[in-house]
Amino acid sequence: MEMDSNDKCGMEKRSGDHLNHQTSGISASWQFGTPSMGAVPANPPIAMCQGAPITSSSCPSVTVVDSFGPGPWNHPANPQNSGFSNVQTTMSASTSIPIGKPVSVSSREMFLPPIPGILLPSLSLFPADSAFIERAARFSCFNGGNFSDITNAFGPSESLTPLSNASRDVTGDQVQKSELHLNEVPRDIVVPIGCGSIGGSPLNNRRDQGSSLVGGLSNECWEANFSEDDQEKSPELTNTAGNSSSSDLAAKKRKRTDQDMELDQVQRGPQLSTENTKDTTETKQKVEKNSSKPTGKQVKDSTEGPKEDYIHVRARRGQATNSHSLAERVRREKISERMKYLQDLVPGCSKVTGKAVMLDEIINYVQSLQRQVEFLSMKLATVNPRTDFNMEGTLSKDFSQTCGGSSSMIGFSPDMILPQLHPSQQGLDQFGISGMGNPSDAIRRAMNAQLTAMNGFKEPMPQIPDVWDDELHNVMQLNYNANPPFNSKELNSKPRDGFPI
Amino acid sequence: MSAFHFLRALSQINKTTPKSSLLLRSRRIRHAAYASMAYTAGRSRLWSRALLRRLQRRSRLRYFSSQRTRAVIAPRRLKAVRPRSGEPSRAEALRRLVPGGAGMDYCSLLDETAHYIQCLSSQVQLMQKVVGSISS
Repeated sequence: MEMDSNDKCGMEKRSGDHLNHQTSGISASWQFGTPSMGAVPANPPIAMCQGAPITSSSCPSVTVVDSFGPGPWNHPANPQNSGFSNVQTTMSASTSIPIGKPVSVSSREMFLPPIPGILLPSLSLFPADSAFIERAARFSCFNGGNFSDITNAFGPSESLTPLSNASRDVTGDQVQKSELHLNEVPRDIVVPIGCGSIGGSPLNNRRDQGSSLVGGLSNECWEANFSEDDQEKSPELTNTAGNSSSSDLAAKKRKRTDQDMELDQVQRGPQLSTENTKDTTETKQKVEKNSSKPTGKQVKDSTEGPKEDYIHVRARRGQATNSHSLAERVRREKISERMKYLQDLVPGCSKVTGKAVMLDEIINYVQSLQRQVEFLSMKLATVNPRTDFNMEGTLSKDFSQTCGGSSSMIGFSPDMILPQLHPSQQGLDQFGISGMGNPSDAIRRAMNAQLTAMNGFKEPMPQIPDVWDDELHNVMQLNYNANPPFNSKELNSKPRDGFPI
Repeated sequence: MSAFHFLRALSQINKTTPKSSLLLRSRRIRHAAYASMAYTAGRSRLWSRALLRRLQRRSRLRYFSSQRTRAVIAPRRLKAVRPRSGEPSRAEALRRLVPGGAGMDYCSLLDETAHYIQCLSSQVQLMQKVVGSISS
């Protein structure tokens, strides 16, 4: 599948799509987290998207981001708590969305705002520990979005390490935790990016530094039902990180139009597994709520679906989110959809249920059709030797019968056929059909128009008739000219496969 | 479009082949039916491409064939379709029926089968109409 070109388009589209959804989610979680400000529990309850969505426009998120930018810079030296409070005040002042929970909650929220332009400059600076922690917390508050640029911003990951170490030394438990969250945050931000444009190997290195907190953080951040499964995402991530065009199974499943947070393919490191189980129950409720959301989005997704090569699959509640099982499910759904279509095609199969019986019916039907063709060809061979066989009459009659007789066409076709058939009959030995040129195209078009209505399926307009003409002529020619070397042995030989020819 | 090609081929067959060789005529007519069907379906379908390839191969085979070449080529056609995982065993029979089915995965096999059934049924209808118009 071609990911490269679709990658960028998908990302941009997704950023646009995600904004509205994510701002609402962010605001809800922030509101929820406000009361417990100052507490840094190890596993704060998942507070994602539970409140009513606030204005789902891009403006709030932009303003939020903007406020984030200057926020940490203004309070570089403040300890974490005060920093958070400052941030919160600034946040509340600037927008209606309070910062809410401190690092623990925010760091759980993995998604960065889909405004990489604004984020990048702030990310690249990495000021003092607390400021950075605050920023990281705020970043984690944002949901979803275009991670590619953000992860690239995280590229200089070395700066994170000294920061985290320094913070650990400087402050107490909270800072430590926040710093751990911090470490996790980039990792988690990187991890869930399934789109294949992950920021690269340095981020994978960060994952290795992990602590067990990462799992819990990343879990709760996700709106999707990540609770179910914990994947060994590090190998997958490394694969995807390198090239956006990687065709691994996880990447293939993603529908660009959908939001990252709805990714079922969890790109998490192995250390997340422990936390996942803890948050299973909590995230399941979220999953349930979120399950209704994608249905609304699916309409939009379906319209944008055809542009993408990848299909996002959402694991339903109670279903495994294993990459293999998801792929299996997609495959099974495709197969069942095609079986339904075949059921409509094959007459008398509406009552049949089950794939096995259906397959038998299909096989029988195809065999019967092929036998019919053989029988009819035999019949035509016996009927045709009539000397008064009139091609033009047959053609016009044929068209009238098949198409219900559009009079103009009928009047048209015999006129067109007559001049054609005469020269064609003369030149048949040398296949002068290629000399028909325009008249044949006109006839083809006329017949195409008629027959498509009859057949019910679109046949390609003859832009390729030239190539196919030669092929067809070759086929016919070889068939006809095979008369001399033809011997009865071939007639008696049974077809080796079911196909009659 | 398929009617045009088929009828054209039909008229040609009527002109060129002797009336005595009924089997030959019927075989050629069947060949023409499949050829016009595959031609009408276009290059976008796996089965049409495979079908045309097969027809060409057989035609060339018949035209240039000697006993030796036929014996050489025949064993290749006997290659069995290996059972694939994750699909019912009956799919093998379907693969043999649909031209080009051996090289497809199950999903696309079903897709191609649907289109093949469509084309086949329309071709059968066409031939029935021709027979009806001739005999009436």
